Amino acid sequence: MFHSSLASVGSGMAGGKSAECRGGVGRSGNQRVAANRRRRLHTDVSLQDDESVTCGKAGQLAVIAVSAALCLFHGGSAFAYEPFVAIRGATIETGGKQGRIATGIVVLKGDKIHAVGQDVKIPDNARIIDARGKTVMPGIIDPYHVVSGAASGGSATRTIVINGRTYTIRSTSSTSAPKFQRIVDGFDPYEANFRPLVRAGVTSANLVAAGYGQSALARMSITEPGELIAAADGLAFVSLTNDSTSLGVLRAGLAAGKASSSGASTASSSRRSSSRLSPAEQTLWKEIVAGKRRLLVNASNSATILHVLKLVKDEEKVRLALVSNGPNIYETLEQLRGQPVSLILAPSIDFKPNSRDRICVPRLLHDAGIEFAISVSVSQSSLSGSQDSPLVPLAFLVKAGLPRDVAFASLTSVPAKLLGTQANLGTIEPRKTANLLVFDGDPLELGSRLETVMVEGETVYED
Amino acid sequence: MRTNRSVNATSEYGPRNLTRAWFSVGISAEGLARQPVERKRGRLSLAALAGMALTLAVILPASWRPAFGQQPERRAAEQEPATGKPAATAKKAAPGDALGDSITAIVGADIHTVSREVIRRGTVLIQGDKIIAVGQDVKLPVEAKVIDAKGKHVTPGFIAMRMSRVGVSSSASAGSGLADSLDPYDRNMKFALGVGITSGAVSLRSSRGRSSSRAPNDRFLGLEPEVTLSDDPEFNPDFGDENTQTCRCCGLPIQPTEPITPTSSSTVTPTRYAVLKLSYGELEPMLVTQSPFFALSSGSLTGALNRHSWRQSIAKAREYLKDQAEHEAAVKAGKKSTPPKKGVSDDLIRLVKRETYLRTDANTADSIRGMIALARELDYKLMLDGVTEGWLTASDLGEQDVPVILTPRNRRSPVKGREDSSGSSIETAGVLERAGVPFAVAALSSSISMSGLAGRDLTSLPLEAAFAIRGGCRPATALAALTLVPAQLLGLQDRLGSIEVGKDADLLILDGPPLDYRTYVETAWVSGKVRYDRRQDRVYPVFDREQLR
Repeated sequence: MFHSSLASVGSGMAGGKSAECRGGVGRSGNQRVAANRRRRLHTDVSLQDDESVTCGKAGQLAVIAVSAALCLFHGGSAFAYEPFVAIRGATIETGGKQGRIATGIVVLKGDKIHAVGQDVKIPDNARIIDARGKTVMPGIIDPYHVVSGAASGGSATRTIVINGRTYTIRSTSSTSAPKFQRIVDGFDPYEANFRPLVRAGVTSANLVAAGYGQSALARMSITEPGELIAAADGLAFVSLTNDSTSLGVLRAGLAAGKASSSGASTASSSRRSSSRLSPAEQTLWKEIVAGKRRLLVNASNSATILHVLKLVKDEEKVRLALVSNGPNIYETLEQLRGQPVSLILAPSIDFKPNSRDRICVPRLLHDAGIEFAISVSVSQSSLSGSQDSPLVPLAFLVKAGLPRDVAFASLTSVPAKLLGTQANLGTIEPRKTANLLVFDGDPLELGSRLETVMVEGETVYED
Repeated sequence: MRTNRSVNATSEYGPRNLTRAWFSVGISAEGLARQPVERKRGRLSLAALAGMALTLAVILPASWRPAFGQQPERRAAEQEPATGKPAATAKKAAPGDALGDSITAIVGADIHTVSREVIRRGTVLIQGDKIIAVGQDVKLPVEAKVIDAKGKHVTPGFIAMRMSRVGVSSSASAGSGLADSLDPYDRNMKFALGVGITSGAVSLRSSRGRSSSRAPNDRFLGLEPEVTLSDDPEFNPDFGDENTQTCRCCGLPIQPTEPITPTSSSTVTPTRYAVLKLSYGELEPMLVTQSPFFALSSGSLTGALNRHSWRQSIAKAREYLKDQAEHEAAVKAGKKSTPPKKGVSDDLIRLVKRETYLRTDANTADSIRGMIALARELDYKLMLDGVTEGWLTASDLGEQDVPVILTPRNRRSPVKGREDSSGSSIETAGVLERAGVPFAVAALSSSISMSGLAGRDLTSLPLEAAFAIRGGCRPATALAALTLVPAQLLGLQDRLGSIEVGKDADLLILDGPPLDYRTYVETAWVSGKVRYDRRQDRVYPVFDREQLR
């Protein structure tokens, strides 16, 4: 505990410095970034660990000295040599070919997984972590984390009640199509609060906003906010509902993507349809139509799912990931069957629409042979409610008949695949990034707690 | 058979021939039967067909009466040749149909075909989204999925002439955007299907501007109360005069006045409608047609200025048609000609060409006669909505062949001192039937509000038709007023409104006689699929009436 908090202080300082040098990220100016950084640094210290605070009160100079030393140690280690870390004696849910290893060893080298298995030779100089009785699994990848604050121009509706009458209000921008926004452009890592996400075992998150834009992949190294964004060129995301303005975004995008791929014959029409799209958008849609990049569509209701399926019906290469809630997916299950569509949904047991019957939509999807990923942060309230036993909602799904390995995959390897990062993330296999979660028991047991979260070989959270 | 029908529908549009055209549609099944039975795919033996025909001959006089009284002798004469021929035939699937579509057979029910006789204990064969055979001795294909409907009644799906906020939100606008706004999972569709409504004309927001008859709440863009009766654009409170408009802010009636200066531009903006099928859960069949008729509020056709601008619009459309014809002739002759500029909407052109109806509301005897006179003067097909005083004007309506949309329970107080010649009458339906006026029945409200399961909302539609029977019309006519007549008024008689070979498989299996207040819809079929199942959907009470005895 002491070590980790000090490390965060130290590297936080280093990160702050580097951020100032680089000139900040996002819209905020240098000074604001620096100020934010300092503020955060202090709150970090005071919130995170009482010990360190008292220590700081006793001799602040000493803390700074120690943290500076640690910072040096950390920085130096990356260049000098990468120490081996071996986690021994734990049950390993690899999520890969080896499946579940009852008692095994994971060897990490720097930020990568070096080896994993039942009988793996532990290098001589390795730091050994004894994890007997514990369970190690890959870090959770959240394929659809909505960044608040960066949101704009969606056509979302909300409901208000005046004098007992219910009114549905469309957002004022519903008449005009939402504007394209790149998450990296409007995202301030110093303002982002990913702590609840990290405490829930999320090690990577695909950041999106309401509306329409390009996502960014974040790595949850809270020690280094300046380097939070792992990949700025994420997937195209769009929130849709069943009206022309909203569906027009998808329609125009597909048309632009098709026009620029089919070349001169449709040049005139493409110029008209794509004139409103920025070059970045056009490239994105071109890749979507060519099947090189997946498209994330958040469908606000079941009707929208049908409209979207109808729109992409003729685009054989388009790979779609639909975000929706359980009841909507349940209603459209028959129409989704056999479609080249993956789904992203929250880990919940839902009510059958217009009924009091309960349904486990992930299980129904699995039975129907439809690929799905689970986003733990789709519902923020359930996220904060499930702290340090983040897989409890998943346990309900398993209890309701979802196979255990499918449940694990839906949190790890499937989202990795949806995001196109399956080469690095999603399973515990050699040469993959060392994003690991250590539970003090079976993650699906109610009593188990998430003890350690490791991102790229570094412990970012410890219970 | 198809060509035959279309010729009837388009060329015989003279006022005198209208009824005839309608009958031709009704008897087109005979035309179909005269076609050679395709032996390869025909699923009926000739012997069976002959047997069928015999049964028909027996049943016909007893159970079937023409829907539109007026010309029974004519009807009988046309029926004559049919009795000697097979009445039902297994038709080869239409070219568009997938051959692999499975066949469903509904067996054992009394089939109310509406266009023809009631078939006792008959069979309906459905393939894909079409009806492929109807009759008493239809041979079941081996692969057919058989649904036992013994003791039940089968009718065509009901068609609502006034519908709002079903399958699409009321903020949806007409035009190209409508297809995107459809919601095949709208809960209201289940309520409507539950009483047997399988399709209907849904009112929309005009794509150009909002129509004058909008509800007060629509002043706030995007605000839509979920359940309010007065929001309904078609809602007609009894304020005494049919020209009364309600104030947008307080909802109180405004007495009509002649405008002192021209208030609006000369363009006429019709209220927009679209015909939707309630194919719950499926998008493709939903949108049947847009602008099935040209709908104007009576307000925009009353008063000297409004009438003047309406006459001008019609004249403009005629002028365009004339110029277009001249242009086409010139092109045909090889001369150079520029196409005329089209200053009017396509809908108006279709009205002038007598392809669609003008739909407007008229309730008092005076306004009914006024609208008829205007239609006669400007030569377009007229359909009247409301006609509360129709019992006083039945002969005028009958002579001019003006079909009406009737709400039998609509009330209107008589003018003091003229109690015997003004106001509403429950007998209107019967009077209209005897005068040969085709009428469709519409519910008191066009939207669904759960405050009235058997009350005044859209779900009371079958009950409303029952009140037509109460007012003295025949049950068969009342059933036609929910099925075939609205289909004809919408120009969709080729697809909807009766149980005939080749028509869309939109039908109901009822647990009792249609229009009985006790009857529930067991299953509602739209485009060949079950979209409502009483036992599964549990929208309406589920119990077994037999057990209660």
